[in-house]
Amino acid sequence: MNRRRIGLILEIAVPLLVVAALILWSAGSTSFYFPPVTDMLVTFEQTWLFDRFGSDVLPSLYRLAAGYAIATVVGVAAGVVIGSVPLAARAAEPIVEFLRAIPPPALIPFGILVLGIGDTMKIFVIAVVCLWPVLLNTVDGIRGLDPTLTATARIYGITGRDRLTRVVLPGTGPQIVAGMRTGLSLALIMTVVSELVASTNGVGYFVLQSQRDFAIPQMWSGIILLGVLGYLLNAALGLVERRVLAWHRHATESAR
Amino acid sequence: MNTRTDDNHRPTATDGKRDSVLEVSGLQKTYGSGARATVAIGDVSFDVAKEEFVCVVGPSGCGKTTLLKCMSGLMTPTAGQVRLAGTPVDGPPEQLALVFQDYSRSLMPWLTVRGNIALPLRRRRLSAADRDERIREAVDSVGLTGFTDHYPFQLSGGMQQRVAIARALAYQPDILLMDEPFASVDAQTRADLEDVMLAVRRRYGVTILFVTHDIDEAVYLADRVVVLTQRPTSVHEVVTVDLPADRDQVTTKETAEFTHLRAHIYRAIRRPAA
Amino acid sequence: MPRAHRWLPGTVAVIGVLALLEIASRTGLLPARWFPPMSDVTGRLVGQLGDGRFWTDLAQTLQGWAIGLLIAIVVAVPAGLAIGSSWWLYRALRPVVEFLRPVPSVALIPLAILVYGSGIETKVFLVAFAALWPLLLQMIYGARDVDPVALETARSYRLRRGDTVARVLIPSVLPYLATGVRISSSVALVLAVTAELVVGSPGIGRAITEAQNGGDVELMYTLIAVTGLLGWGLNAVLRRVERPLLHWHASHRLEEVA
Repeated sequence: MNRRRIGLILEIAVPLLVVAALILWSAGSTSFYFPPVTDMLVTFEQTWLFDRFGSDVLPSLYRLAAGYAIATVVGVAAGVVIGSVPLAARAAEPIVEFLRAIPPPALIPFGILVLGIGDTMKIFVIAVVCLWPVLLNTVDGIRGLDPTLTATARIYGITGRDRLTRVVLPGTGPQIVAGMRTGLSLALIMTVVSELVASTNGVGYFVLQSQRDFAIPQMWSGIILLGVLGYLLNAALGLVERRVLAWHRHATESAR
Repeated sequence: MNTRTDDNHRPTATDGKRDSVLEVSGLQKTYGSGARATVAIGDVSFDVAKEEFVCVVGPSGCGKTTLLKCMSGLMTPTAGQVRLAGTPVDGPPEQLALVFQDYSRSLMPWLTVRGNIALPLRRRRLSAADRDERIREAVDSVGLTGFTDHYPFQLSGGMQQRVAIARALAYQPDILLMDEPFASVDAQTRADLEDVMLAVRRRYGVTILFVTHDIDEAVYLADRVVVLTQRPTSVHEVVTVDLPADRDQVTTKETAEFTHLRAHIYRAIRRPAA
Repeated sequence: MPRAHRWLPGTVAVIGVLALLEIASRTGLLPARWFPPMSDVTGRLVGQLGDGRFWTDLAQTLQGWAIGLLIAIVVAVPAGLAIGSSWWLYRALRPVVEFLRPVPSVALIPLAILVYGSGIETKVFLVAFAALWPLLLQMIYGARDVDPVALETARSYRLRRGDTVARVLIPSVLPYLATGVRISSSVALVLAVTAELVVGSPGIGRAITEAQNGGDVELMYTLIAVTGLLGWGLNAVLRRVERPLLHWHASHRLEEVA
């Protein structure tokens, strides 16, 4: 058997073994904190498929999507402007560096003060936090555009909207997506934290509430759900990337 | 309209009255200022007549690329002037196309062959039928028929450069500038691309200014060869190539005239600037 | 461009933004209840420097950051090197790591409260867990990136094992270690402040919540600004430390913001 096949078998078998081991190891667990994994999975099925899906999962996803979308649009737009004007980039640098260094959850008290504890506050803090990676990556991408490419656009009089949509944005695409990838994991973190701090629904709220009620299998099911959400969101962005940036993947592969 | 037969009589430098498309007069370019100033181009003047094929050769590092950037309006000269069809150049003119040496970076990798050729045509405001016809003709004349829906990364280097040439042809400029376009392809591809240039030149009747460091290539392609000196660059000599218009990689290159011109230019380039 | 000109636009922009905020809250354009004048916030910041409570909070935040980061380093560096340099371990554990990496560490906050209460243990646990992943990944990349030609060269010159480790392995892994520590450090600070905000472990984060609850808006802004300066400062220090280690290497390109 060749190494390739062994590798493939390992990649499939080991995760299954890990899950099986966890189930076996926890089977007779009487620990208050770590109930049997099977209990967690049963609770998961009862809670999330689809009893509390509408009341908790959808509000969380809505906040995440709204904040993330705002951050992406504003980040790309501001990034294009700042990246295209060298003076603007130098002027904005210290301000951006400082704002981005603030640990994101520290903005939540500010958000609560100014916007209250509703969805507006949550969407605001999610958007602010996701903004920086998108913005900074867009600026990097614009400044890294190939000079031959921009010279070609000048020679052929490709200006205005055509230049933006057919030269600048596609050329910056790989960096923009890299920023969006970082932004996505931040968006999920901020959704959860904002729901932990102040909320009346959402997955983060559910997990905290379960813990306060000592409903331990429920708490675990929420933690597992957040893990699954993180994985699925990341995978979804990966799919979008494969489609939108197909040219980039092929071009870098054939350059090797 | 684009197909015309060649009449073997081309205007030469000795003709008094010529219909100039491109005039370069007293061009000078200095980088930096004060004590650290470097004169890249000292004083360059020449012109290119309508439908003429002019090659520019010179020793390496003689500022050929700088010269080209000034002529295409990508760079402002320190002194002197470039005129295209009588109008001073102060930015990339609408009636000029440029083929870069680095084809892989001048094509948009996210557009197909068709998309790349069509992009500059958007400012021409053509009807869809006219546009498609222009693309088809350009693709045919560079020998890329059947590849319009391919992406650049699916094509070899030589084919990518054909796309760049087709893009310039479909744009139908008054003058086509080419910056060492075949410097990064292998020898066989290079010969093929040279013949493509002779063919499209005949088919489109386009005026071409072709910068190269390869003397054989210059003599093979050109009606006239502008020989530059070392830095600070000036025009050393303008050589008229009196070879028949129908050229062939083997028979043309074995004529005495070709060998003589080639040797003449070679000596001119090796001689230190007077 | 002269050095002075490089800094000028940034300095002008910072002063301009501060001045605009000052004018906006002095004239009532921004409600002063929520946006106190910048000069007052700056004044408070200076005042805090002489306040013992402020320094205690800062020390507690840094303590959580340091212990958690240290645990992450102690666990992740050997683990990452082992996984990255063994074909078997790499193939076996890669999917597990890939699956666990996107799990938001903050989801474990309720569990941490349950197990450890609201003291420093919770903070350290969260910091260590979150800081572990970026470092682990960097070490895996680093171990896999050791040039096989360099290893073969070492073997052909019959270098002793100790010398191979010291001259070949460590120099190639060091840049990844530096990058990983820097990314993990900022993640660690984020989690330390989060634990203080959400769980109420003592530190700057809890002080921010208390200021907001108590209606001391100026103090809240002051402390938020302090966390920003802290994050920026830690990052600057680590960059400073890693520069001499990396001057010959271009691995910064691999960098991923966590």
